[in-house]
Amino acid sequence: MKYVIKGNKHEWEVVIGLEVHCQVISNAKLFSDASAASGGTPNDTVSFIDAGFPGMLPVVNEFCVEQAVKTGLGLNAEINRKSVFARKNYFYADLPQGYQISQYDKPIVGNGYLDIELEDGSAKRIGIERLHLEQDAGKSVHDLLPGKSCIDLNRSGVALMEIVSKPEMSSPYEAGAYMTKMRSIVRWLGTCDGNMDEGSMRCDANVSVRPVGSSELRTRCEVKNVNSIRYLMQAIEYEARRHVDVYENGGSIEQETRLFNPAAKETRTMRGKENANDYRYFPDPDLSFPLTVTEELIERIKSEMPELPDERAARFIKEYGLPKDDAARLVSEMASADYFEKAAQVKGADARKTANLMLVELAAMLTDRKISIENVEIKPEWLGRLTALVEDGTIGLRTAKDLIIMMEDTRRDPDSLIEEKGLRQVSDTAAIEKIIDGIIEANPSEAEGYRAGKEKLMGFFVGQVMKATGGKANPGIINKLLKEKLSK
Amino acid sequence: MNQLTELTIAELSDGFGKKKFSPSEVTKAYIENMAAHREYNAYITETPEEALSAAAEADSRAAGGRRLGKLDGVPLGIKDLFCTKNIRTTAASHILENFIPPYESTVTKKLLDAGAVFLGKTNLDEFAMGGANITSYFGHTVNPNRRKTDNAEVITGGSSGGSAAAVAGKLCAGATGTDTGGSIRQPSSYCGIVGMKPTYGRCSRFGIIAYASSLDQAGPMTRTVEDAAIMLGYMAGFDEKDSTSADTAVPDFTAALNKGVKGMTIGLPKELMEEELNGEISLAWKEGREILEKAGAKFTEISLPNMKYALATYYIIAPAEASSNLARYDGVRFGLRVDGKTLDEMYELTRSAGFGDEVKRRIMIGTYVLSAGYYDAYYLKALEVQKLIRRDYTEAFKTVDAILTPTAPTTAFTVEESKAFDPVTMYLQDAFTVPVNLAGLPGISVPVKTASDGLPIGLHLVGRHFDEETLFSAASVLERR
Amino acid sequence: MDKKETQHIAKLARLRFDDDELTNLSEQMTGILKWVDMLQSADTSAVADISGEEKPLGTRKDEVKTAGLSRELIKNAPEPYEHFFTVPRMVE
Repeated sequence: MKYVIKGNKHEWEVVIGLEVHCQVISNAKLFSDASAASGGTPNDTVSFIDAGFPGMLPVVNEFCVEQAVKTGLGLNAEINRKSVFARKNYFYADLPQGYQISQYDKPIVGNGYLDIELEDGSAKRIGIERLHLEQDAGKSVHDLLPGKSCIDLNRSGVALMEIVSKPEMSSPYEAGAYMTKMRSIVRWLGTCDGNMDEGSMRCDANVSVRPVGSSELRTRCEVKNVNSIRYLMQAIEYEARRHVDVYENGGSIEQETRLFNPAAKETRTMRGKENANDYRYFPDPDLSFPLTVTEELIERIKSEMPELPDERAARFIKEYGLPKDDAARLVSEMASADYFEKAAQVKGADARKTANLMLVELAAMLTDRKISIENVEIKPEWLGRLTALVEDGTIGLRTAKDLIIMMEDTRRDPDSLIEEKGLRQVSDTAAIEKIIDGIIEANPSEAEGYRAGKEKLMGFFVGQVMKATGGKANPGIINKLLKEKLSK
Repeated sequence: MNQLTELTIAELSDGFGKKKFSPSEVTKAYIENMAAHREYNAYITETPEEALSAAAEADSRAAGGRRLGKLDGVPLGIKDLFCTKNIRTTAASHILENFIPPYESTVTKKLLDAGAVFLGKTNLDEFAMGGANITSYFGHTVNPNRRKTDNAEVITGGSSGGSAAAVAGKLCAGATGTDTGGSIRQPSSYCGIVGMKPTYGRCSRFGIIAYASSLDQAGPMTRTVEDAAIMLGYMAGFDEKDSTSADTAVPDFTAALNKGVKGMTIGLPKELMEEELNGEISLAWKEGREILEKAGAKFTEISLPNMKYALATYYIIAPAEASSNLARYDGVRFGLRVDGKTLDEMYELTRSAGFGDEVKRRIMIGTYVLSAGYYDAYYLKALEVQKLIRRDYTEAFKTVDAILTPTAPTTAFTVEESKAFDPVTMYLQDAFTVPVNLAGLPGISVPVKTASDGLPIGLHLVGRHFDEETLFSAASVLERR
Repeated sequence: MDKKETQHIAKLARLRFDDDELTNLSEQMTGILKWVDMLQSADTSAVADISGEEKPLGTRKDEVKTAGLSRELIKNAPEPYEHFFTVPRMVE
């Protein structure tokens, strides 16, 4: 399913590269011992280093380095044994040192890739060019004082990983899938919380177009700071269309930085090439020795790596016989994959049915109540037990659904609830038979109608029986007995 | 003249220990001297009250026989580039005129922990950029030595000119300096004192206002080689707050003082021997060589073929780093602000008013050599040449233990004379000291004689990385002449 | 270096010079750059072969030790507001 933009003259394809900024999960900042946690009193989690005070020197946080290595390994990437911190020089109110410490020509992580799934279910491999460590900037608040902007440096110096893809995505969908996958990987690794709303994961998109079939790379525009996957897809769609319109009208695209406006669903110029900064990158002399990653460190991190989503999904399919879609949905979050595996361990719980119960009934309750799998009250063991109880006929599916709500509300296991509320399914044929006889007797015209061929009336009888048994009768037995009695 | 201020650090320590006099008495004597010699303009900020209270504490330690070591109670001057907690620190710049650091530099903290008494913050070239101490916002310093031929007042050299004047003029027993291209050694030579720039990484740079981070290094400025060895012992050491500080053990430098130079091989760079030097400087160099030879050192010619590129290399690398290091002076968080309608206007007005001409010139050069299109030709090329210079020294130190040259090409000059210099001529004053910073090596300037005009001449010894001890051994021979 | 180029560099460095200063500075910078141009004659072709001893960069542990500095931090600020630093308003 190729993404093609139809112009008046040509058909066009889009070329997309993404730069993803991930805030590293760490206690302290990249170069200081101030807290990396956000929020709180302005300028409170700021050391003199982060505020660029005279004579202050950066010292790199070893854990942030490990997090970058871990992410690199998760992206199947080369880990550079030696990398170099460089200064990116520019003046801005939220940049206290007058430069950002980043990595330029020698990043900590080199070539890697991740695999995304396309709409038709096939896989596509997207190349990753590099990952580097850098400092975040502070923030400006504009509405506190007339004529002034207020500067809060709490974020200044927090570690970021910038992950740069190769320009290998060719539709908004692919870009979205890449971001989703990237988010999932960093969350699984525990290197970034992936929270796009709060800005701990941000993205810039480099977009260009070319006539279908051509291999040229035309001038690209950078669309900055798109803070959701949906916006990213919209921004790319708009930007690509804009390029096509410009080209088809005989114009040319200028290399520039643009901002996406979600309300108008369009991008607009932020700064043109003439205002492009001359960043004067050079190796930071305060950190002049190379950042060294030893073999020992790489081996240790490898041994600590969790199973990543793709591997785990593959194992779910192989080990539990799950359908591909179910496996994919379960591994979208580490918490849901863990939950499933715990539930599926319960004796008598069929893995496929457990997955189904989880992805349909449990998921519906979670969506309804806007809670996440991490915060659910129902223990995974209870869900597994619930599957087993349906399986052995103790309860019906409808009761199971009710029990999910009850378990969540009462924080109690299914067995005790079934006992207390008398929810055990009635499978006693004689008892059900008696009820059915009474119902047929009380509804002679419907029975007559059924026998005359109105088979839809079966539903009416099933409903009546369920009503009479308080929903506890085994539906299989009801159906079987009703068919026997009514055909007499 | 007060006898107490004539004593060396070693003598003071001895006297304190034997209770011949107290830290407070010595401190008071220095405070009197400071007041009597404001014409040197050696101090930007004097801190007599803090000094007296620190001295009183040292008094009681001395009285109770609990002295912390040789520096306990010794009055020092601190170059106003070291951040000192709650004491104004200006870098001799208008832009930091009212800056009061809420923290202490590692070097000054070590000195305070050793019981040293700080008399105040000494004058310097603005942000340590200069070789004559004439770029200070607080006015130039004056050399306590006068030129006999015309009784002219001469400059101290720079950038640690205030420290040099204070030590030479007996306004402190010793002082801290910093040296990026010669800023300890060259003023020491001009003022007739001892100045040691240790190996890069020997002293922590934490809390020292940066000029060129890859070259800046703190060191002692004293009246004797022994005092320099004592002071450096307290200033040096690994600091986890400075990634470039060396995790190398600090030896007892004073143990090297009496080792002599027997068996030592000292190199003379042939490139310098072939150059036409100032006659008196050349003579002093020759005499220094004779002293060391008499004491048992062997001399041999070495070659430093790339030394001729050192100054040009320095004047690319240092301004490049400075242009970035000084970007933080923007009127937002500390220091001077000149308001503007926009952010950029505020930046420009603040920085233009806050920085002096030499600082601006170096920021401009530094910005230029890092800018798009020029980076490779200037900055990258300079880094490559720096490697050549380092290799020259590595090669030379395969055959020699130390290298002897003059510290500076001339003796001190007057402010008027310096005004006639173009920037490049001014930069040439550092020709013998700059290569040492580029190679990260230790160097010491020792006063050896007085020129016919009455002004001091210093000789310069350069050693291997982390081999300050050899320099102290040789320097103490030179000094004893 | 001409005045236009000097002006461009001044802009990058956030420095402001009047016309006379620019003329002067262009001249001085041209002089300095002409002088440092001597480096072009240095043969650095074999520089890649020089292996200097390289120490690994020192690092720090992931520990939070600094907190609650807000007041200390803004004590030196020319125009603080509550816990903030301020600058001329950046958006219209």
